[in-house]
Amino acid sequence: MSDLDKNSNFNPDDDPNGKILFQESTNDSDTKLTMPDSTNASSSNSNKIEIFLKAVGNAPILKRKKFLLDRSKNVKFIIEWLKKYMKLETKDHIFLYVNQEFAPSPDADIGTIYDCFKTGNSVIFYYCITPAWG
Amino acid sequence: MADDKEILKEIWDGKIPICFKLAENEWRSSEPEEIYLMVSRQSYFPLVLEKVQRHFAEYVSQTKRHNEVWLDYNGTNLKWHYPIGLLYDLYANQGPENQSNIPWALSVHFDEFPGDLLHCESKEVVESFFLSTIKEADALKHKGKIINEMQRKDHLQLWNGVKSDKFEQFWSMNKKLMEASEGEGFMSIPFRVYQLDKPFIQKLFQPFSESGKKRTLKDLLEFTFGETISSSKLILIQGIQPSMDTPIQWLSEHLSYPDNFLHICVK
Repeated sequence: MSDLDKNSNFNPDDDPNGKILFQESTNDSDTKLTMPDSTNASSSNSNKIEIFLKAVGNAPILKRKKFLLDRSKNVKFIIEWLKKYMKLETKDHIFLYVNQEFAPSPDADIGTIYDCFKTGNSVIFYYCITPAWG
Repeated sequence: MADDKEILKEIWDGKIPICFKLAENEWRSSEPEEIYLMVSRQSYFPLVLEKVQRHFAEYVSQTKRHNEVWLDYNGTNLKWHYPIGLLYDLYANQGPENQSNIPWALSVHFDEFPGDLLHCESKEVVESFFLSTIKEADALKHKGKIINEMQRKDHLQLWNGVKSDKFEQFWSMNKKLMEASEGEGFMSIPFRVYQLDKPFIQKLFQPFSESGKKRTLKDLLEFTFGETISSSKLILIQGIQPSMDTPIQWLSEHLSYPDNFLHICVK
């Protein structure tokens, strides 16, 4: 099960860029990540959006599914992050969908997607490595 | 809507004359001639660049001639996933009375693909992007009901209409996506507002007020920016400066791009 072995390497503290991009949304203080950048540390969470990342098909699953992300980050940022996280080659594809409905524009802000397509108080993204909902 | 077919056709036929020039540092021995094309506003650059790439390929170094081609206008890299008409309106259109950017002069590059652009390996990538955008639009208009009831061949009909610049082929299917109940309109208007050097703005906006009054372009822009928009601003949709009192439902049905979004430039 090479996929499983690969999954076991997914550590939320591990970041391909060497800095923590997602702040995890969890009440567990042991694993709660803080923003490493001190200028951001004091900023409130009101500019952050809760997102869920759910795997579809044979896409590797993430150890955690819930993250807090700045409103101003865009879809391309999540795709690139997932790619690095899963150690995919640049030529590999990650397909990201909102609500199992459509693939959002890569340059759409997360805040925009939240405003238009939120479910409850979060945005649910589905990701896969082969196209799912066209 | 039948009475408005002439308007739909007029919009569909909107074209931009473009002068493509090979970027200066990319030709090897002699400077190639520019190439001029009349390009549909509704189309996407990867659908029209084949000829341009072939024309310039022999002038660039052999190792680069099969590279993915990209474009810039006065130093701004052009996103292939925006309709061509939107790119022109956003970056080059100075308003209907000003013709100074006709033809639109673009530089063609084979080298140093910029990090801020998306890759587009084939026309299938454009197709899937286009259909995704239509799905997003229908999610806003009809909770995705109409696009999801369509079959693959219907989706292909929409795409092929755009790819081959066939008005009838596209609109005979697209009219289903434009269906709206009288007095209610779409659930939300699929629109994006673009300004220079900013991410686009997209919000939920209903075409009718709670009291049943038609909302206008002015209402939409006030809602988007949270204030009355200065009259010195140039507002362009499909190269046109519509009256601010135009009902937004009508604009959505008639001036949307084939991806079913109303792309509005504010500058």
